[in-house]
Amino acid sequence: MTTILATREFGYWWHRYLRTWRGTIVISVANPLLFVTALGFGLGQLVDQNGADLPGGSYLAFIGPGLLAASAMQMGFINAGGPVFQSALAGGNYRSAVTTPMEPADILTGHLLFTTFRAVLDSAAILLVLVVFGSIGPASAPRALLGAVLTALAFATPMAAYAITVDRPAKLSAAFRFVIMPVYMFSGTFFPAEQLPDGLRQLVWLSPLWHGAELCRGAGDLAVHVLVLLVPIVAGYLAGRRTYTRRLTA
Amino acid sequence: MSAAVLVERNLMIYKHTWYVLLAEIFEPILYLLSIGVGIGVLVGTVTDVPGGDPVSYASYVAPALLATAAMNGAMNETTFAMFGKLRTDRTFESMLATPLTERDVALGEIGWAVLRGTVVSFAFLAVITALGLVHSPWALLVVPGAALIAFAFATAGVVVVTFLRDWQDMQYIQLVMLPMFLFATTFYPLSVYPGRSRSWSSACRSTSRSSCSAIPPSASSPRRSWSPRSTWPPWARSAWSSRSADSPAPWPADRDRSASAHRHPRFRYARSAPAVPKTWWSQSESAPRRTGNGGPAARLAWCGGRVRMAIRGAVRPEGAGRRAGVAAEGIRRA
Repeated sequence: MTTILATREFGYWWHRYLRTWRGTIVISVANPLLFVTALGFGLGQLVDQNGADLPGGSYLAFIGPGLLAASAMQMGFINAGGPVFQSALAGGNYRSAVTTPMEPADILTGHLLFTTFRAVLDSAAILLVLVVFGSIGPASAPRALLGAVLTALAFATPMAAYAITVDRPAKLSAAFRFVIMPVYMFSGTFFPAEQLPDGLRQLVWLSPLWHGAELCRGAGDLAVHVLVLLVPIVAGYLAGRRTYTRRLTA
Repeated sequence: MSAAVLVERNLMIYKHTWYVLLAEIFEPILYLLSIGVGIGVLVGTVTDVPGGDPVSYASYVAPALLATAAMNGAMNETTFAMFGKLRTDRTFESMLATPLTERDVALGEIGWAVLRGTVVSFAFLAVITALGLVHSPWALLVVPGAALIAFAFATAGVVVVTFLRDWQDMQYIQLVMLPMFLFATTFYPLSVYPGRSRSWSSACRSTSRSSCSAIPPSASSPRRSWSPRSTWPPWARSAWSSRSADSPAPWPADRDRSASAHRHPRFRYARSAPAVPKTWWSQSESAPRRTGNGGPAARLAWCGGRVRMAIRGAVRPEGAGRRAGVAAEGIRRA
């Protein structure tokens, strides 16, 4: 029963998406591709001239998968932050949904299903261009897609659990500025995490984005990265069920 | 100088929300540490510096990030913040009930945006000095430079904000700003581009004399030093000439009327205003006088008219149509 009701929440977001998908392209697809073009091709020339020793060979091959994971992270954050906050306000769609037979957990599941769908769609679009650019080999594309989707969920699930408790939108933008941006900048997206000073390097191993980026690059052990990425997903889901129930049935 | 009152008002507001400015410095610092220092290890030194010795990559990126901070600080103020005051908070509505005019509001917002951009870049300059990336006291000259950048983008933002229909339209600004940020040699010297675009780009940056001589003398209007007909692409040229010939009003004819009719009544007013000949403003002084058939002065007047109309259009009663819209909104809310 739970799964069937969750598809109703998915249907709501799907219906909205059909009308607004054009507007999402700029943020979710054009933005990372512009970064790849500027940094991969432009800055990449300087890096490759300097003869830096990078996993993957060229700088384009290094930053492409990293930005794929990073954009999946931002996508997951943005889809679970603002929309959850607004849906939980009076007049939001959660308030209507909870008066039906749907449980708060169904609402959470349906929203996360939609986030997964968006992650697959957006990451596949970026991935397609990266394969055309030659940044990711066609053979490693499925693994990169898995890494991107898991990264998106690893940030979306805890974020949804948090965003439903938030009372002011300023807290969400603060979370983006002071949590997501530093993670984005230092999780081995732009440069190898091995370069970081000692204490910081161990900290980066805790970052889901680093594991996602390594998955996308095809580096390291697949099972370990997937397991680490599943930890925030499962923990966030369990926490989200509690916070959703508390906020929506209060 | 009543525009100064508005600057003072913004200063009083930001006295309580100063951490917003702190967050604005935080982002370029992150970029500097990640890209400047992190990628700097991979890049080493940059040799292609105009008229100077090779510098470390962090020193190369730092001034560009400072310019970006000034740009974003000013542009955020006159697009995001100003759109909120125009449409959501309706701050200007109460301002125009005082002796402040639309011109004062526009000037004051620009002045505050310039101040904000300059303050942010000054703070960023202090940070990069602390990081040891500044090698000469002449670096202080970047502060007036940053003020100029902030002024340019603040005024552009004030014009752009009058075209926005909704918060969603902000992404079109992003679509212009982000490629500019990424490709305007922020992160690498001009020499990474292939030859043709480099010479084009350097022509843009060279002195006005040489760039003037690069433009072939046009057959039309030899009296004017600049004419849209000589330098614009054909489609823009035809759009320009048809506009100046047919419609004396400084707005484009009501092209988006049907598209925007379902939106907020206030906006419908702003766009469709020229189509209605007898409204309260048509005899007033607010329609900018056109100084000639085209030319920079006329374009400036057009922009100024748009800004003033947007600020005023958000405020003054429109008549029955607007009241009906407000009533409908009230019913919807109730």
